[in-house]
Amino acid sequence: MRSDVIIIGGGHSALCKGIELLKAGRGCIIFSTGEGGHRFRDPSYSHLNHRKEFERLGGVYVMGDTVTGGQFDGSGRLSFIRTAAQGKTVFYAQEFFIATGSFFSRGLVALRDAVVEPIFGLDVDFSGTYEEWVNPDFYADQPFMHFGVITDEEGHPLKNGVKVGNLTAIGSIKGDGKRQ
Amino acid sequence: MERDNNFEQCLKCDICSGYCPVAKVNPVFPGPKRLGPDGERYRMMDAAFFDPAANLCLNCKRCEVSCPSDVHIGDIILKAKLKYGRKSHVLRNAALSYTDTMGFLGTHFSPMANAVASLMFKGGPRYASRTFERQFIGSETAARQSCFDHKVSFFHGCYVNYNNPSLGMDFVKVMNALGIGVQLLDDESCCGIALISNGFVQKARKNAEKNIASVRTSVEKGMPVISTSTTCMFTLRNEYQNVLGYDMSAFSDSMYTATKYIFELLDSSAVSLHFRKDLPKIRVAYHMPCHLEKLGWGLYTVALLRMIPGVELTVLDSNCCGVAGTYGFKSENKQTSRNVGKPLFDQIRSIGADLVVTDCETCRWQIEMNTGARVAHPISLLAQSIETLK
Ligand code: SF4
Ligand code: SF4
Repeated sequence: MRSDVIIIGGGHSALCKGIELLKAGRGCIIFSTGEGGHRFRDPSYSHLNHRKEFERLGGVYVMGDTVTGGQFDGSGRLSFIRTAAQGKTVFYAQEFFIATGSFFSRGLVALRDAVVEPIFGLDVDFSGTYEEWVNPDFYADQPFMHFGVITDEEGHPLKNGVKVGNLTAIGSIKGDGKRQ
Repeated sequence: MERDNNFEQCLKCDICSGYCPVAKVNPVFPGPKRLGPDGERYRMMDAAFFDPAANLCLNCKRCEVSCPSDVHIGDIILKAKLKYGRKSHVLRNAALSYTDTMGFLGTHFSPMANAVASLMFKGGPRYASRTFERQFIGSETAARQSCFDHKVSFFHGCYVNYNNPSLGMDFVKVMNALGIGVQLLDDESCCGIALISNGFVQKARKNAEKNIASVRTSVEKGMPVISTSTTCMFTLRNEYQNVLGYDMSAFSDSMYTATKYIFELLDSSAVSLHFRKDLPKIRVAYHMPCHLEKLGWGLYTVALLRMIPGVELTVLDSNCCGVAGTYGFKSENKQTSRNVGKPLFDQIRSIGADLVVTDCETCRWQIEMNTGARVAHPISLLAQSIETLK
């Protein structure tokens, strides 16, 4: 299947970007593992209204489907993605956004010796050993909170040091560059 | 104790309970989190912790779709029901679950069966006087199928066979227009979803094993298996694997809902559909059935509907219609079932579309019964919108 734009992750950054794109006349599909944008039930939460607006504008929100990987072409562009539910069917797009969030939503995963981005293996800005990621003073600024995928100025992430030109990282998956 | 599910992945966020249609309308229902991952821990310790409130679960799987941690909540609840639950209303539930037997009786005595059915269940299925199989096998249409190089197997399901044979004919028409022949499986049994959710596991297994054998034969001959019923396809592809424990991995990429197969064919090959030139403008409201949303394949139906000239499409908000197969046909669930469906019915009434489209037979009954709207299957709408083969 082909779409103009595909957004991976379905939280606030994804819906804001999606609505903005649709208003600019683009087409857009969002894939979200679950109801995106929050981790605890909150009756005041307006995700549903944003999703409705996104769908009203013609966007397609696929909930309950996780993007599992993708294919990069020779020039480092992302050509298509695969998901858990679509089987052998792959999804092509001109442009992709990754908005899978930080550790809690598994946009970033901390292993014993590295912090990784699990879908594409994008380069992540972290350093030091496990012990250095955490400040033992609970209330202190925690180094791991500043980790994220490395991007250029326009938000395009790197994979093995090469920029992925048609992929943009948005939201808390991005590092904030303030790491000590 | 051996664990066959991922309940420990639960983060206790309770998002699933916010998404559960029953929890929304029934205050005594503990909700997916408590019945699913929370309850599992207790049941592993002692089966006495099984909460019979699990019988109120619709098996709609909306909780699973909403869970950000991918916990298989609905499967956990259903498996607990099958393992620990006790049967109630055995005769009525059997009548609802043995859809093939009831369908057989229904089509052979259709005027009488329709009268009895309307007394036994609120609303509910109407039976055709000749089954799809009897109309198709040996017909001219069936004979024509051998002219096509590429063929698919059609899993028609009980609904097409006993209640709506014309949907089956519509499917054949659309496939033929795309240059694809249609065959029936060597031996098709009811998919068994109603048997599974009402606890008739032995019979469900028998049906599953027969169907898996037929699917295997078809796939080995290079013919994918396609169904117009989203719930049959969901059962074959997902419930056989996740609830009954059969390994379906060899076939899962060869099993499609009709709209997914057609969309992919149009998307990946030179074939196209020739739409009639005289199609009127029509306002269509699309309701995505829960099991199609769980499959993750609703986008294909939406994309196909958008291709039909003259169709002005509104995708209805994601809601459960409340019927959930046999659930809404049980008198004790009647009120819950109506309340669950209310947001959907209200939206349908308020937008006043010319036609409601949905891929599921029981959603169709429920929507027709509660809104009086005209409801059609996407394949039937497609069949009416294309030029007929000369
Ligand atoms: S949504 Fe998933 S993680 Fe959250 S409480 Fe429900 S099962 Fe647990
Ligand atoms: S399957 Fe449906 S009814 Fe059952 S707990 Fe999950 S959301 Fe609720």
